[in-house]
This record gives sequence, C-alpha cells and structure tokens, in this order.
Amino acid sequence: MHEMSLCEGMLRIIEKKAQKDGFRRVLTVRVELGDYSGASEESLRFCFPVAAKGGIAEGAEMEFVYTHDRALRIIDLDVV
Amino acid sequence: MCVTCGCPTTVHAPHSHEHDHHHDHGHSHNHSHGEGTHYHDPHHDDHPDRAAARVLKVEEDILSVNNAYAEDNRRILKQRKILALNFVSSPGSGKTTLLARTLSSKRFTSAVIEGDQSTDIDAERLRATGAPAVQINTGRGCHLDAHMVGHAMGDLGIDKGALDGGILFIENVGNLVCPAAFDLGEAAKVVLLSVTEGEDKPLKYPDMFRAAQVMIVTKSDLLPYVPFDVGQCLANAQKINPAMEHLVLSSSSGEGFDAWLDWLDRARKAV
Ligand SMILES: Nc1nc2c(ncn2[C@@H]2O[C@H](COP(=O)(O)OP(=O)(O)OP(=O)(O)O)[C@@H](O)[C@H]2O)c(=O)[nH]1
Ligand SMILES: [Mg+2]
Ligand SMILES: [Zn+2]
Repeated sequence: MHEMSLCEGMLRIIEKKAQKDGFRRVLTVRVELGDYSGASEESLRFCFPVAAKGGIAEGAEMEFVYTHDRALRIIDLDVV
Repeated sequence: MCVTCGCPTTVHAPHSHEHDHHHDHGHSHNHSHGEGTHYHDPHHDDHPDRAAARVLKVEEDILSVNNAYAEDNRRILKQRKILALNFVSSPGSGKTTLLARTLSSKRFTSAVIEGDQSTDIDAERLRATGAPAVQINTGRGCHLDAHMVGHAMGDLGIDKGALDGGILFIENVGNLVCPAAFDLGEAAKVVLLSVTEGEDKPLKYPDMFRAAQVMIVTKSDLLPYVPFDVGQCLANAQKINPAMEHLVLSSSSGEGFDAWLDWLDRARKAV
C-alpha cells in the first residue's frame, strides 16, 4: 500500500538529480528491488505513472533488477 | 517526505549521506523488463528521444529521505536519553489499551505520538492518563514516516528537554504491512499480535515480524475462548525472526503486565 509514498520518494530523488545534472526528461528508471524490501514490482509499476503525471518522469519506463536483500534503490536513469 | 504530511517547510533538512557503494554483482540478478502494463511502446529504439539518451548514475536508496529524518530523530532522542518505541500491529490488536495501562502505572516519565488515518480518539484516550500525547492524522497515508514524527517530537518539546530520560511511545497506524518499511528513529519496533488474530500471522506478514525486536501477544485473557496456540505462535515468530524477544499479556486482566513494565524499565536504563 505504501508504494505511492515510495514513488513520491523516487520522484524527489529524480527531481533533485534533474536540478543538479540538468536533464529535461526521464525515459527509464532502473530500480533495484530486494526480496525483503517490503515493496512489490507490480504495485510500483501501478503507482509510478500516477505519481509521475505532469512531471519530468511522466511516461518513463521502469526496469527492475532483483536482489535477495532489503534493497530498494534507484540504480540509474536514462535521461535526455 | 513532506509530500506525505503536506508540510510547507522543512524543519530539519535531510542531509545526503555520502558513502562508498559497492554493488555486489556476485549473486545473480533476474532482470525483468516490459512484463508490466505500459502506457507506451516498450521498444526502446522506437522512441524518438532514445538515440539522444544518456545513462545517469543515481545509486540512491528510495527511502533515503525518510532515513535521513529518522537519523535526525535518533540523534535528538540519544542526546535526551529517551527510549523511543514504535508500536505496530493490525488495527485493534490493543496498542492504545496497552499504552493506557502502561501510562497509568506511572512508573515512567512518558509521552505519546499517536498515528491514525483519522480522528484524535486515541490521543484523547491517552491524555486521560495525564501523559502528553500528540495525534498525527496520516489521511490517505497508511504509515507514519520519520518527518511527521520529527514534527510531533517538536510539538512535544522533546528537543527542548521536555522528556529527558523518559520513554517516547509511538503508536503507528494499525497496519501489519507498510509501517515495517519506515524507520522513525526508534530504538525498537514492538509488534503486537492479539490472540484473536491467529497464530499464523508471523508467517503471513513476515516483513513486520522481521522488522520488530519484540513481539507482544496481547489479550491473553481471551485464550480460554479462542483456539490460539501460543506455543505455535512463538514457533512461527521464531522461524521468521530468531532474535525477536516475546511477551504474553493482557491489558484487561493485567496478567503478564508486570513483566512488560520490567522489560520497559530495563530497556530505558540501557539507553
Ligand atoms: N479482552 C481484551 N480486550 C482488549 C485487550 N486489549 C484491548 N482490548 C480491546 O480491543 C479493542 C481494540 O483495542 P485498541 O487498544 O483500541 O487497539 P489498537 O491496536 O489501538 O487499535 P487501532 O489504533 O485502531 O489500530 C478494544 O475494544 C479494546 O477494549 C485485552 O487485553 N483483552
Ligand atoms: Mg489505537
Ligand atoms: Zn500501505
């Protein structure tokens, strides 16, 4: 259920990065997701487009890399 | 997470924690992509911007903002020698009733931060014991986060010395899933499980029982009326989290309550 606030957390990281590195759009967000992170890919995929609407990451694709720990991390972004 | 609490200003700015990150590629990664529902074409090369795209390294924890606030809270609590406990459970397991009886014992200098989606019923119930209590309403949010708790600590005057050497009880939103992921700066998460919920809950909601340091089996006065196997419950909890301590008690009859108050006393002295 808390994936919406996780997505808001992701967007804050992305926006901070955009200010620093100056890009105008995010095409892909690559996320490391651990088995014990308490979050699910399905739910993040569902929430992210809603949270990202109207912002720099609107329409971005999500890619997931699975680990066996508690990881919940943005690895990198494809940006233009 | 100002987005969650709607706070216009930042009280304590989150600082970025610089650290060396070693990405362990020793284990196999399952790479999943394009299996979910997409709004747009999943073929990269068809995207007009793809050709111009560059990869930007981020390597940042999604919970980093929350965790930075949690560390701020933890630092203040440590300075003030306060034991902070984060009470988590499904709705109605008896968190507020347990806190009311604990506060009424008057054994500790205490304050309470109450989290509920709506109403300040629980904070009112606890204020009746004479302890200061601040209510947080999370609205659509299903958990407390460290930023909200930082504000509430400020409201209680904790940074100004209002609770030095005492215990801060934080009652999280009734939810056996989401609060597990959010560090509030507490010394320990205390998970409650009432005997009417069934002994299988540690197995069904492992995230929460893995995150907790203590489990309290509550409403033991109802054991004669429900088919709840305490031994099986403890075995299930042990399977998920071998290091977790446990207590069995009733906030109605008071059975097992002295052991809980003694546990609190020891934990407070250890701060
Ligand atoms: N029999 C019995 N009932 C209890 C006990 N502790 C709590 N209750 C009852 O269980 C119900 C829920 O208790 P609360 O203390 O409000 O539970 P809670 O976990 O704070 O609930 P939320 O804040 O809504 O998540 C109330 O009707 C209490 O009277 C107990 O030890 N024995
Ligand atoms: Mg309550
Ligand atoms: Zn949730």
